[in-house]
Amino acid sequence: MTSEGTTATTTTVTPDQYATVAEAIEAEIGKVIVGQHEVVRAVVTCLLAEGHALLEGVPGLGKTQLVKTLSDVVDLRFSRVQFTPDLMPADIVGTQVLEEDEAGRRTFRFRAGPVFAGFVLADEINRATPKTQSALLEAMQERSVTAGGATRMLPRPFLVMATQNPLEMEGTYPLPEAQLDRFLLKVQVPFPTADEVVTVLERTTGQATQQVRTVADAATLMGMIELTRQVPVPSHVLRHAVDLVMATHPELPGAPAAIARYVRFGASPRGAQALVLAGKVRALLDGRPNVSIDDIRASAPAALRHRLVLGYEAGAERTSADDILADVMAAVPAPAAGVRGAP
Amino acid sequence: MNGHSEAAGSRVDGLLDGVRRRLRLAWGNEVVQWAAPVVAAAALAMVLSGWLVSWAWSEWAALAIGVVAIAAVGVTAAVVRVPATVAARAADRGLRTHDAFAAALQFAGHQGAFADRINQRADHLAAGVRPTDAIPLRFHRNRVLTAAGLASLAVALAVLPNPQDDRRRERAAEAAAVDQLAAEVAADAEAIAARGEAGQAAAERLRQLAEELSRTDSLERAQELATAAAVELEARAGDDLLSEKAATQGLERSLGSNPLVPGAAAGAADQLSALADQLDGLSAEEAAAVAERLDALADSQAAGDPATAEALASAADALRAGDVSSAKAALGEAAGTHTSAAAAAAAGEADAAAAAAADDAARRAGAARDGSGQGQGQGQGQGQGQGQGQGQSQGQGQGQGQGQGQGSGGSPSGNVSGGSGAGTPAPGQGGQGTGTGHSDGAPGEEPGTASVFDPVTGAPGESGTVGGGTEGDSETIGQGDGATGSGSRRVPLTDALPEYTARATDALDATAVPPSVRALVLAYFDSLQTRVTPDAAGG
Repeated sequence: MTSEGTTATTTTVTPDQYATVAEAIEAEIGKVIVGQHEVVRAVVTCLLAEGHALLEGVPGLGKTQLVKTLSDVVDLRFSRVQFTPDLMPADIVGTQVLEEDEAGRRTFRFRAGPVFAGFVLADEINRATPKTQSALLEAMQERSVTAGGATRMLPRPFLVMATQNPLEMEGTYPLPEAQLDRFLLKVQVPFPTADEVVTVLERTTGQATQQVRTVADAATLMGMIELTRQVPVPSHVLRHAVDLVMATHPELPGAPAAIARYVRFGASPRGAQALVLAGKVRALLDGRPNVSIDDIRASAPAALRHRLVLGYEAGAERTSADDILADVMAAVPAPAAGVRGAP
Repeated sequence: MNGHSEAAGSRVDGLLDGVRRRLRLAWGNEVVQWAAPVVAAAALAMVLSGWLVSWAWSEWAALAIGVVAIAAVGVTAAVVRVPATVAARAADRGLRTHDAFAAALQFAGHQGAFADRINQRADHLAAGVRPTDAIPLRFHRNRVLTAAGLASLAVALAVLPNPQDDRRRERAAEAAAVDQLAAEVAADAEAIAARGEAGQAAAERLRQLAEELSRTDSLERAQELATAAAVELEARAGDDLLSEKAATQGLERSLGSNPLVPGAAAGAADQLSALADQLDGLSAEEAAAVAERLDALADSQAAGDPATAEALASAADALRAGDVSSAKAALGEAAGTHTSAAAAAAAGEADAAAAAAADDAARRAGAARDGSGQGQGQGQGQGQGQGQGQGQSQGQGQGQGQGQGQGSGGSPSGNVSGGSGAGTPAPGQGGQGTGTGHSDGAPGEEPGTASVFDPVTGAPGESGTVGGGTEGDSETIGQGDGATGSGSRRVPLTDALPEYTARATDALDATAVPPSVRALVLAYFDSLQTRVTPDAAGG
């Protein structure tokens, strides 16, 4: 366990250990979460890149259970915040309270909010007001909280796993672009297959309960996070990540037709950072010592879908960000070798 | 570790080197398949153009297009630079190695755990793979089939007979005829050059003509060039060539047969010089005789070499006046002017021969354009028949009519003129018998087979039917006394010429013929001989 405001010590992790631990994390999660391998992989990617994840899916798909299970598998302090319209910012970051000691002296003491944890589950984040949503902004980006005139650092590692329901539009507050941009990945949680639902029923309607074990502590996670950042990225791979992000901007020459038609604003440089970090995790999980073009392109949908600001034409024609990103990927193919006749 | 790293590096380097070579091959394969339809279409267009225009080279050009295109691609593929980074990325894409080789290349020499793992992984991946696995050669079926179809069509059109083949053969034959003309003109030039210094200028002009002919494929153009050269050379030869030649050669012969100074060298200039040396020792009678001889020689030179004639006359006058020194000077001047005149006559003769060669080439070019047999017959017939006709026809044919009636045409006196036998000697002027062939003359007869009317074998008192009248038809000129042929008896000129020459020579010896006329007659028969027997050129 770590105290608030302190950074966990770091355990040196080798790339082989990295893959082993990550595989163990996924395996433990798999004991509770049926299927959803891509979702689990995306959540683990965010964990190992120390990035925040936004999970979007209809109710009942196990989004909250996933995050709770993850928190059990890794030894991080977990807190859950159920976002409601009446939730206040102080309910998230904490507040100053007046306390009286035994001697009768009264002092203000900061009572930390649920954000002071390693894992923060922001459930149904789009149900809280923008004011409350913005209370997470500083925490997500700076990993600190300013309250009562004092800035308090959040523990490391610190991750926010937010969920939202795409069905209910009444009484919800879409996340502002500034906050969306702070999520590393936006993960679409699909409806499970029939077989997967059967397995879910078998596991959840009987008496047996699944127990998961802790396979990594904070120090190990910090070591894995540091190792992630050490993975080399060849220059042409970096360039391709930039090309993908630049292609999402309608005002730039050479933008694909779909971008010009449906997108108001393209992805920020944080999108490129997300591509690279996610690519590094993907490379390590695959046992490779360098990031490849394939890693960048595989990470693109999750890393960029929430960073495109779509215009009304997209909504009118029911064109999703994923559809637009597919056009971008086609318009910006993997760079060729540069010689005619080469693969 | 270092050895392993070096071996690993060499394995990756070896793979990348092979990939580089393979990339060149792939590049060439792609470019060839991309360009093949274009090249095949261009070749087909070139072959088709050969069906529309009588170019002789369209099929070869089509073949050259293909060969050049392939060669260009091959050479470029061999020299195109393929950087190692490009090879690495191509290998990664082809082998699906997730940029392992590109990373190994970029991070070679870096320190750290990841750098080592990158190199190890690249080495592991490089073992057991071949460049052919990384860079497969692609086959673009549609392009290849399109190119094959177009090329096949081009080949078929190239080998099938096309409407332009006849025209091409004509053009080729025309070009060959022009080349033949050029070669013959060049040979004529060398023959004239062999005459020595006198023939060099004429030979050079003929060489120039040969060069011009070699640069053209057109008979029409060849005819124009040859005609222009002939006109130029004729102008250079001059209208007085025959009289000049007669005068200079006559003087040589006269002094050769009757030297001024016994025992002196045979040349006229040498004799005049030798005479000048001996003037001091002459008696009055001898001086008078010499003066008289010099006057006679001057008279013989008056028409053809006036400068020598004047010098000789001056020498004679000086001798009579007893002015030996003046006589010597005049004799020296006469020797010099004679030498110059002889050289000019030789050069003019060379020009005339060159003009004849050029004119002959022009006639043959024209004949080849019109059809070979007729052209040649006309050319030779015109050239020599007319020459002979002018010289002999005027003397014998037309000459028998005109020469006898008008006395022009320079026919020799006596036996040659048929009919009246009253052939009036005419001064040997007017360039007769040069045989240049400028206008229609006798019907096309080649010089060796030309025939003439032979008055000798007729019966006395018969009317003479003389051919070659003004209209070209036989007409009765008149009634002759003596040697008049009956009907249109004709004998080959080659048979008659020796007899005529001998009779003319006898007549010259037996009669008091002025030296100038004698020289003219002799030159005339020499030119006839040249026409009849071309091997005797230069006489």
